Amino acid sequence: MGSGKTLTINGRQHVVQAPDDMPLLWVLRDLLKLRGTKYGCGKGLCGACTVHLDGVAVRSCVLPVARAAGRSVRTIEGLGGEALHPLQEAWLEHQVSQCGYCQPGQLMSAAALLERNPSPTTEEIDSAMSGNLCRCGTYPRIRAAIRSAADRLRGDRSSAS
Amino acid sequence: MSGSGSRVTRRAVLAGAAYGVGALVLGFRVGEVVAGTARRAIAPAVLHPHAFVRITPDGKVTAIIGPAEMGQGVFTALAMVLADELDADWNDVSAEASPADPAYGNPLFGGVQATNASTSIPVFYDSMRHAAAAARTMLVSAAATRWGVAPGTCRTSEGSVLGPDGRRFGYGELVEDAAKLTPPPRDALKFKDPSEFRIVGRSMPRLEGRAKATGQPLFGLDVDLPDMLTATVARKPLPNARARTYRRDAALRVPGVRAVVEVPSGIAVVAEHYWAALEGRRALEVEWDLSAAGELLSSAVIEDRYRTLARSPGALAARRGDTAREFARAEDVVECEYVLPYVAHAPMEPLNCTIHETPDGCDVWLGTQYQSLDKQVAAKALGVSPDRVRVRTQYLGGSFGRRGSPDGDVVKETAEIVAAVRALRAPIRNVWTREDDIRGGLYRPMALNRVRAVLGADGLPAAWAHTIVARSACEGSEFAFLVSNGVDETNVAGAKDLPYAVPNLSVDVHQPAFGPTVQWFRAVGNSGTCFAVESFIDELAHRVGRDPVQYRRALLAGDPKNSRLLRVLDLAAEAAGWGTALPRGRARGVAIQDYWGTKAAQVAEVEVEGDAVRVRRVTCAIDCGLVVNPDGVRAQVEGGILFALSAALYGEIVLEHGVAKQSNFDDYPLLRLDAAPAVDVILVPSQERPSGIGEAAVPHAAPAVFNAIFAATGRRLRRLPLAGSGMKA
Repeated sequence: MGSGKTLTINGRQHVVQAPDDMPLLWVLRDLLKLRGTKYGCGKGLCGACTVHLDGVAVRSCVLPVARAAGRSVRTIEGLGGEALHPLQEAWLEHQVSQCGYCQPGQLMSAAALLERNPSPTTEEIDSAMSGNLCRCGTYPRIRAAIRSAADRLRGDRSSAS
Repeated sequence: MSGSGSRVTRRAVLAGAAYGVGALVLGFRVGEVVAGTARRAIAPAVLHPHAFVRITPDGKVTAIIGPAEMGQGVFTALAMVLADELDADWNDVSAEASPADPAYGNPLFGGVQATNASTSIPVFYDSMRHAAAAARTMLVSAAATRWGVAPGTCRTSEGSVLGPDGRRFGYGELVEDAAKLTPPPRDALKFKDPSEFRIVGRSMPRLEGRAKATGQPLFGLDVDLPDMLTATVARKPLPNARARTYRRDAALRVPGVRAVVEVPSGIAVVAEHYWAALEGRRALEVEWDLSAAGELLSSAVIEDRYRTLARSPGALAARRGDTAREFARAEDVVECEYVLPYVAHAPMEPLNCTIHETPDGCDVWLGTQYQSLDKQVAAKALGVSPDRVRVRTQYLGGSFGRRGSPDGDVVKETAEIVAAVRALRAPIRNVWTREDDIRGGLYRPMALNRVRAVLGADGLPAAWAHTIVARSACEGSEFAFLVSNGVDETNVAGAKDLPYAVPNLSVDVHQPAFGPTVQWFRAVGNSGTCFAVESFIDELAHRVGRDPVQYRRALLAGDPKNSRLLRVLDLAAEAAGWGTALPRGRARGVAIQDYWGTKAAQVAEVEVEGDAVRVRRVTCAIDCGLVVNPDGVRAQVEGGILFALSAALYGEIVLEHGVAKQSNFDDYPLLRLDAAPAVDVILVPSQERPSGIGEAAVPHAAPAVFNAIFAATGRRLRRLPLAGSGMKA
């Protein structure tokens, strides 16, 4: 309970005082003031709180902070770094966002998908993204933006090789 | 920028001086100039109350927007209207939320600062142009005076005034002089002809799109203030419930919990962060006493009572001809009943509000559709004068009507908590859980529609009677003026204005006050009336063996005022391949509606296998008059349809003894990406006055899909959602 925990978030180490069972979401938002990761349901049902834990998309609202200690966490604030991530560029190209609240979670799920599968089929996109709710109905544009970003990422890789 | 300090330009000096040097601020009450003011020394805190535009000496143009940005794109669209008429450089344009002020009142809603019924563009289109045209005139005057030429020899382009002989001043350079001028009266203003528009009519990216794609803290829930505490309320399951017992000490023992206080809505736990507040709330283990909670009605009981009411005439909303005579002498009356359950808005951002009392006033941060009402509510609950309350409208993480509570429920509760813990001297952020939201009432009203028709020898309806039973969201609220003689206009819209040529028509309504609290839901009453009308007309067409599109055409074509509706019907049918063959198991359905002036037609294509329904594609043709931002309109149509599909396929709040069974997205499912159909949008080019777009594609989706299911299966479903029919999506 309540001991200091070392978290690596977007490449930076943070020590936080938090109970073991405090969800990572609230550690990020309320203790570390990283407000890009969103609260939507508190039960891992909507995906608004999606972050990467060692490169895998997880729902931070149901992830006890103790399980993130010593591992690498990436949030929307660390997705692009200095420049925009290709997915964020695609998000702008396709004008995906409406209210925008769910989009950090959508982007983090999409980024995890493309990292493990650079050429997802439509079915694979549907499957990977169906844990992220969007009440505004931006789904067709999310699909299109992921395809655009995948094309761009593959193009970058082939031109680099 | 001059960040290195080595090159300090006049421009940078002026920019650094912010508004202090003489910003040009202009504004008008909607429809008329009541106060255009140019002031020499204006600080952001004392902006002129009627201001829609601010131009600063650095050349930046800020559109000050009264309506809330909740995803519908109103900030970008209204900024486009302003920028175009001003001849601004779009790269210099931004938008910001206005304060709560009568200058931004919505005349269609009694002057309340209301983002409602897709009225922002229709209402503020002219106001933004007035503000911009006046500012442009003043900037031209300032330049002409400096040059010693007649204003008529100057023109404007992309943020500059161009004089004779190629001379040029950027707008920013003219602000100080222009701010000394008196704004010209409205009738002296010259407006662009729409053929001269350079920005309006082009697809412009959302101004805050980058901020949204990078997770910037834009929303109410992202507000972060020094020493802020977070509250959450163990909410009463019903408004008149009472706490019998609860464990205050256990909650106070949770690390981080600072206070436990009773407020009218329940028991508030105030803590250093939200998790501690939630843990404290759990530790309360409240036992509720419902003995004084009133009649604990279940949905099924309410529906039965509605059904009984529908057998008797309600308050009359529309009548032509004599339906009673036609029904009395008819041999065959077609009668159907269409039911919509309660649904929750469920915006993705849970409800929240942050209030900070300081010696110089009280700041309220939240996403809201009713800034002016919230200001009054906060003032009353805090016991201060409204002029000490500053509403700081945040971007809304969705709303769909939920953040438009005439009672200001979330603000009121937050202010009550603040008043109860004043000794803590801290800003208080109050956060609802998802469960609080789903169970919190203020649902889309349950609606029962009884529709009857007599068919003439030509197969067309000779008489049509539509009885609606639905609780009024307006009665007893700030918007009670929308109710007259027992008819809430928002309950009967889409029914009383039936576009079909029916010689004998009656539309009446019962508005019982029992059951849960209700509130407008995106597309308001039209969701229900469109489902009833467009299902029923489809039933009539099939009954007489007519094609549903042709049947509708026959009933529209005789009236010239239906020409735009007829056109979208034809366009949607054509684009969707209406009448062409589909693979086995697939079929199409159609629906049309005029929503507050915006005409749309949708064709849904569904695939049915056994009891499983998949919506494959929805084609929508839409005519909203002049299109300000084409891609923005497309986004609203796509999103509106998918939003509506959640309600059509899954959405239902079931009350058992007054309490909602549903609580979160596991038992209150929303449409997910893998079930989302492709959406094709056809925009009708038009020079008509612009009408709204935020809701106009919502009403059609349910009837179009259900009509398609009938075409595929022969099963007529008359009750939403699909999930309750034995079929599933």
